[in-house]
Parts: sequence; C-alpha cells; structure tokens
Amino acid sequence: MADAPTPSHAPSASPNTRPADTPTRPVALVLSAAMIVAFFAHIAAGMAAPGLMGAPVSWFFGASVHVLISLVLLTAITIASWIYVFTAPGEDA
Amino acid sequence: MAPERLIAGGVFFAFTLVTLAITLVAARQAKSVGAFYAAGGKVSGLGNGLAIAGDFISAATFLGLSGLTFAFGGDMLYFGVGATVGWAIVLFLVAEPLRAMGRYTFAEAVSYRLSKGPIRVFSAISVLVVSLPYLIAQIVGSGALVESLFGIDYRWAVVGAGVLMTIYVAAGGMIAATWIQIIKACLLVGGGTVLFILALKAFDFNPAGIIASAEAVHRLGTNVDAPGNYFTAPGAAFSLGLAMAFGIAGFPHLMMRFFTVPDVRAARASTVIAITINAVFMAMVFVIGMAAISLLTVDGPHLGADGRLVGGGNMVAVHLSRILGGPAFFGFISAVAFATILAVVAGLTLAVASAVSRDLYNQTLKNGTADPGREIWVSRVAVVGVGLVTIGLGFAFEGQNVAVLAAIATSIAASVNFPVLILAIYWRGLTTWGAIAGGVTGMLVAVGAIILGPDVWVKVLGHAAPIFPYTYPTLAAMPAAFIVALSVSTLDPTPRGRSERASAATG
Repeated sequence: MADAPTPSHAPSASPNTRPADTPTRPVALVLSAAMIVAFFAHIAAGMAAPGLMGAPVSWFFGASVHVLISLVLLTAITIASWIYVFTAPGEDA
Repeated sequence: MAPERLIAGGVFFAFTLVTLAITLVAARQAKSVGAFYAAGGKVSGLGNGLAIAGDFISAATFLGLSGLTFAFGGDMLYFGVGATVGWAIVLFLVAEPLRAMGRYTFAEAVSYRLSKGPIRVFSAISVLVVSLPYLIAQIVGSGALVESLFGIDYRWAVVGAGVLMTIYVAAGGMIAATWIQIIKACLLVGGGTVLFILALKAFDFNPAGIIASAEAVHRLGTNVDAPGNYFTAPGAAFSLGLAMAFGIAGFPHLMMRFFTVPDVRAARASTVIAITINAVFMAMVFVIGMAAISLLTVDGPHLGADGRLVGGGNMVAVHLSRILGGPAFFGFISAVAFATILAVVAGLTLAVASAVSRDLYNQTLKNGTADPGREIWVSRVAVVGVGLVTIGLGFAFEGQNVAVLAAIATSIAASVNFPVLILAIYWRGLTTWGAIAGGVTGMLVAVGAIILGPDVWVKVLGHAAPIFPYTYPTLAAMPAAFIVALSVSTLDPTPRGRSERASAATG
C-alpha cells in the first residue's frame, strides 16, 4: 500500500528509520521518571493520609500540605522543562 | 436586554467577526493538503505553544475545574498537576520524535514503519472514540454558558456553536484553527489573570483570607483544601492520575500541532510554552475556585430559587466574574469562555475530519492516490458530519459536568492512543497486529468500563451500583493495552509479524 507523500516541510527519513532511531536524551527519561514518581507519590500520600496532607501550613497562608506540594510540583515541572529546552542540542533531532 | 447580555453579545460577535475574517483569509491559503492539515509547517514555536495551550485550556479547565474546586476543594489540584505532568511527558518523550517524523495525523505517526492500511483504519476509529467525549464536554459547556448568559434555550445554543465550528474548520482548516486558538488563548489567559487578581483583591491580596473564608462556609469545613473529598477511593485517584499524566500524549488534536511547526526546536519551544501557561493557569483556577466558595454563597442573581448556582456547577468562574468585575467583565469572561469552547471544538473536529479524509479515504480507500482537492473536500464533508453528530450528542449529555466528561476523554486517550504511540516511538519490536490488538484492547476495556462505571451505569442507566467502580477506566484499560500490545507483538505468528520482528532485530 502506498505511503503518504512526505510533506515538503518534513525532514526526510529513510524508509527503514523511525523515531526509535533518533536517540532520546537520557535526561529526558530521568526527568520523566522523576515527575511520574513524584506525582503518583503525591496521590498516594493524599489517599493514604488525607488528614496529614490536609493539615494547614501556617507559613503558607494556612493552606494545606496538599496545596503546598501541588504548587511545588507545578513550579518544579515548569522550571525543569525550561532548563531541558535551554540545554537541548541546537540541531534538529 | 440586561447590560451584561448586551456587552457579552457585543464581545462575542466581535470575536466571531474577527475569527470569521481569519477563516476567510486562511481558506485562501488552505489550498494544499499540507496547508489544510498542518498549516504548511510554518507556525512559530511561540504561536504553536499558544495554540496548544489554547487547545488544552478549554471549557473543562476554566469552567469545569473552577466548578470542581468550588464543590470539592483540594482534589482539583490532582487534575492540574496531572495535566502539567502530562505536558512535560509530551515534551520529554513525544514532541521531538513526533515532529521528526513529519507526518500529518496520528495514524501516519504510528504506522511509520508498520503496515499502513490496518493501522490507519484502527487509528481513524480511535481518533473518533477519543475525540467524541471531548467534543461532548465542549458542546455541553457552550450550551450551559449561553443558556445562563443570554437566556437562549440550551439546544439552540448547542446548534449555534456547532454551526460556527463547522464553518471555521470546513473553510479554513488548520491555519484558521491555529489563529483562532492563539487569539483565544491570549484572551482566556488574560481574562483568567484579571479574574485571579480580582479574587485576590477581594481578600486584600491575602491568600490566607481566601482559605479561611472558604473553610468557614464550605460543607467540608477545614478539610476543603485537603485531598480525598472528590476521590474517595485510591483507585479512582490513581486512575485519574494515569489519565492526566499519559492521556495528553494520546490526544490527536494536540499531537497534530507538532506537525505545524518548521522544526524540532520549534516543537520543543511550543511545548514548554504550553507547559508554563498550563501550570500557571491551573494554579490560578484553583485560587478562583477557592475564592468563589465564600463569594458565591451570598445571595445574588447567580443563585436560583433552589439556592443552587444558575447554570450549574460549570458556571462558577462566570458568576464570580460578575460579582468581582461587574457586568462588563461578566460579559467579557462569558464571551471568552464561549469562544474557548468554539475554538477547542474546531481543533477537535479538524483532527476527526483528517482521520476520516486522510486515513480512511485517501490512504485506505484510494491507496494514497486521491486528488488533493478531493481529499480536502471529503475532509470538509466529514467536518459537517462531525458537527451534526456533536450537536446531537450535546443534546443527549445536557447537564453533565464538563470537567468529568473531558477527563473521561483523556482517560480513553491514555488507554488507546498513548500505549500504541509510545511503543511505536520507542520499541522496535512493535508489530502491526501488536499495535492494533493493544489499541483495540485499550479501547474496549476503556469504553466498557465507562459504560459499567458510576457515571453511565448508575447515573444514566439507573442501576443501583456500578460494576466497574471508578469514573475513569485508565487503571484497568491502559495496562491491558500495554500488556496485549507487547504480548501480541512478541508472539505474533503471522508472516507479517515474523517479518516485522526480523526487520526490527536487524535494525
């Protein structure tokens, strides 16, 4: 069956290559794993100890530990993403 | 007509006229297949990042999640953090290889080295299955919004949104959809930021006041910002977590946008901009929802005779804008929210239409030899068909929570498309039948679990208890898809399977 014509703006690729042939930076795998572990640990903590996660943090406007951790995660993921992009190789993968 | 309705109407019609003009200009440029599907690959990283953020920050995010915060407090943050994790996974693992492929649709990306025909048929079906619940979420939100704002009947509101969406996409394709998203993203983020600042101002810029006031009036009391109020079972929370973290990479209408930029660097820039907007917006929506808890409990036109919010729980942010910003801001936020829905629906419809016209019509029926003009014509017919189906389903799902509907769509994407896409990118051993078997398994388990779950089995069909205990099916469906895809690919006894494994082994 005929393949789709490669669009003019697309990088050329040999028929026997696929994205797996393009190496992913190890830091991408490490960051992904760290984020996933942190996120699901956050969920697990909230489900296992809702009282502890709901406890107010006096220096954080009285908001709960859960809110604090959520904001920390949002901030950390955003910063990590910017660092990842700024340190990425300049050439196309 | 009340002043806020006049203002909202004015803003809405102004937006409509501007975007229709963009659509007409875009239609002139959308003559080629590449321009129609992928905007010619000429969208900048910043523009594409705004468009991606616009695609994701939909009615479900702004209206639905502020409503969920209002009703259940802290559990909304699992949606917000999960979505940000999902975008980061897209950045780290998916965006670059996907853009490097230079294909137009999800099917073309998955079938990069596999057998094109069967994969395309499966992918086209999966795009439909994933996109329809998301379309329903948007169209239901539009109906509720226009109903409460203009007093127009819900069904006419749905019809209006459906017709406008059809015109946008059928005429302008991806160029129009991208520019509409960019404009909408700026308006929504701007409007949301102003609402966030006004909410802080109402409490003298003291977040502690927002928390204390919410705790004082909410039925959950001091537990209002604790987890475990919406998710009462760990399995439900983990299922939602899986959906948010992995579903975004499975949304065809979001992944399509990585084909609209000129290179991998622009794809990376797009994603990190989308991540930033998403993270900031999620935090702001949480504050908006928490502030609304105390501000919307006072009497006012936002409360009906039964003491409930007019228009339901999805209208929290809209009502708050009236209290904090007056009629003009109320009108502006309402119009922007409606425009948000319109724009997201346009992007989704384009993804579905491209699956039908490109994957089914051109690549499958015509063996990739269809006349480009004819292919675009088929796509436009598909847009009209999707528009009609969406309007019909919008009637059927009136009154459903839009955030929950959207999260269900995300869970299907995580269960059907994500396993196949990630294996296609990273595992050389994936075979054609392994991909199809895994995807179909994910689809059947996901759809089956949704039907047997609390939202359909109990709320719609009226049974006493659900057979599948969770709203979101990801906990069962996503692992099933991975296991079946891996197993079938490894054990596939067909000549094609043996050939694909041998090809993978030799590199």
